[in-house]
Amino acid sequence: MRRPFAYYLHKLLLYLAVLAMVAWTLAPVSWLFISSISTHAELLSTPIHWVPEKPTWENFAAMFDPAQDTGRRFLAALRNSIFIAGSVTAFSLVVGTLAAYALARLPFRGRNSLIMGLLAVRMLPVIALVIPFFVLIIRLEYVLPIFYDRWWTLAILYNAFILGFVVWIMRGYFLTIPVELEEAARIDGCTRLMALRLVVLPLAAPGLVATGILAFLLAWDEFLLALIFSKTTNALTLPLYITQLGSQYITAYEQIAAAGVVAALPPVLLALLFQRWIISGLTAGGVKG
Amino acid sequence: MARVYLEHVRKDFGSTQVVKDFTLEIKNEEFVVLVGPSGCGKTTTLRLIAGLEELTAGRIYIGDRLVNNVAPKDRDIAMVFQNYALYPHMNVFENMAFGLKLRGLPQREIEARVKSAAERLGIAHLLRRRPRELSGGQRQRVALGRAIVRQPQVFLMDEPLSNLDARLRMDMRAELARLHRELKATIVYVTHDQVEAMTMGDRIVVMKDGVIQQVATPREVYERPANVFVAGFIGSPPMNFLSAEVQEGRILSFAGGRAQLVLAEEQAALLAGRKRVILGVRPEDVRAEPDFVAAHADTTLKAIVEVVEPLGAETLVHFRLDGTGLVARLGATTTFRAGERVRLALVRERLHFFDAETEKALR
Repeated sequence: MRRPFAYYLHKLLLYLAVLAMVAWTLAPVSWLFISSISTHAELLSTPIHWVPEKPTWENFAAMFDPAQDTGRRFLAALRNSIFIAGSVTAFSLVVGTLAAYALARLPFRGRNSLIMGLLAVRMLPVIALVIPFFVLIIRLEYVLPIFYDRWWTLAILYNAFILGFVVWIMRGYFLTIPVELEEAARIDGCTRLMALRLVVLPLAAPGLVATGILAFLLAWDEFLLALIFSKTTNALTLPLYITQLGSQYITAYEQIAAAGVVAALPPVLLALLFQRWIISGLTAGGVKG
Repeated sequence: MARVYLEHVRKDFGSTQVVKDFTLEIKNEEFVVLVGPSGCGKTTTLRLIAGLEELTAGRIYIGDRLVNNVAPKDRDIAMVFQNYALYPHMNVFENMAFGLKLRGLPQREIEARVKSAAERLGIAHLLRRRPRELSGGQRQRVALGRAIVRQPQVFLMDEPLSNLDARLRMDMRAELARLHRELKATIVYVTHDQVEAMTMGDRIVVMKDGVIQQVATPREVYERPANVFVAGFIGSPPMNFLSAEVQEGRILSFAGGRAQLVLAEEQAALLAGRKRVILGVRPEDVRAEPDFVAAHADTTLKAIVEVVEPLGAETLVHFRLDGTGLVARLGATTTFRAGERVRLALVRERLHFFDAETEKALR
């Protein structure tokens, strides 16, 4: 009877550990949601109300009400964030995948230095790039006034560091796909690009999806560059909008929380939507091993 | 089907010459095996024919067409890879139909061809399965099927059997030989396994360090190897090589002068004027039956038994012969024991002689 006892003890401890981890992860998110449906007065009342007595959707309603200033600013920020993160993800995935393929498969002069260069750029903290970026954008602005305080400028700047990240990850992924599969495809009747499209990309789909979600998150969460390069709702993003809620006369915690919930939704939805693609082992069985 | 002609083909990787001045004509419907140790350039040669590697110099013709600058997909070839290279995201049918779809064949034709190839290979019941749900032998058949349905001018096979276990490999060897007969296919087959080379090839191309050593039928490669390398590479256990000295009166002495044999007239004539040669003896040409030894006093040697390896149908015996070794393939009933002193005789008409410097066969 000793073994079953040890077994159940082991199970119990395991589940307790899992429970602790789940609580650790979900507690802040739960508190965020609870705050978002509380009124300002109730949120700041003592003793603390863990469950709001008068839950309200007001904080959300205000954000989506274009008649109010908060609503206008929030909707602009949401729009900009979606445009920026969406375009950065699309661009960096398309260009990054092609570049990654070339760096993984095609022999050409300077390939290794290029790969190391990409990594080196990733090592650089973004703050080191802020001043050069700023000088660049202001100079361009003198020539053609379509750069400063525009969402597409942020999209372009984000690509500068997200593209390298996508290339690096996708190259690693391509290297795990046996080269014979492409060779077989090329003998079967594919050009290199067709082999990429019909054989390599379907197999790289999990990597592509995971990388896309990460790229989206990086762009969605970016704060520093957005802070420097936006002045008006032209280029206001969600992280920036949220911080500005705190910089008024009062700190509207309940609105910050509501905005936080909304800002967290798109990445979560994306992850849920694509999670069936993020499965490993899809390449198993194609080649021996 | 078509012939393949390689003319002064060369391939460099950086400063390394992997294939050097390779000229070979593969005839229509011929089964040619490129064989050699790893790094001898055989796989590179195959990939050059496929168009997966670019030539450094030379020309390759498939049929009468110069294909130097033709993309792999337009060379009308099919290739079977060592690791099968099945598309993991497609089922067996889709794998086999892939090349046909790309070529725009009508659906009915595709289905007919896939079905017929699948039946021929005994995989018709697997068409809906994914590669990962198949055993190694089944994957191998699918890879073959994918090549067959294409009905290409030439089949290229890169060690297709080396990932199978011994039993399956034997079955597939026979099956490939049958397919070759039935399809009347031109096949270029790469292997490092001399048994595969001997059993399947119409002709064998033995390669070493990117250079062709000999091109001949299996029998000729075995009976009349062009040099020491070929003699040692083809045949298992390999040929015995003994450093020998040519002496007066048709006498050849070796093993530090303690063993001697008397050459036949024409052998003596062949070696006339030479001092040192390499003597080659196949293990089966070392005999130990008392009757034979008694009748062949001219080629009798004394030796010490070192190791006895019974293989069931035969016994391999390693002898020591004053500083050199000698392996013999003897009958299953051999009763030799390690340490025993015995008398052996060599089959004189089946001895091989090689130049001591160039290692080329003397004929």
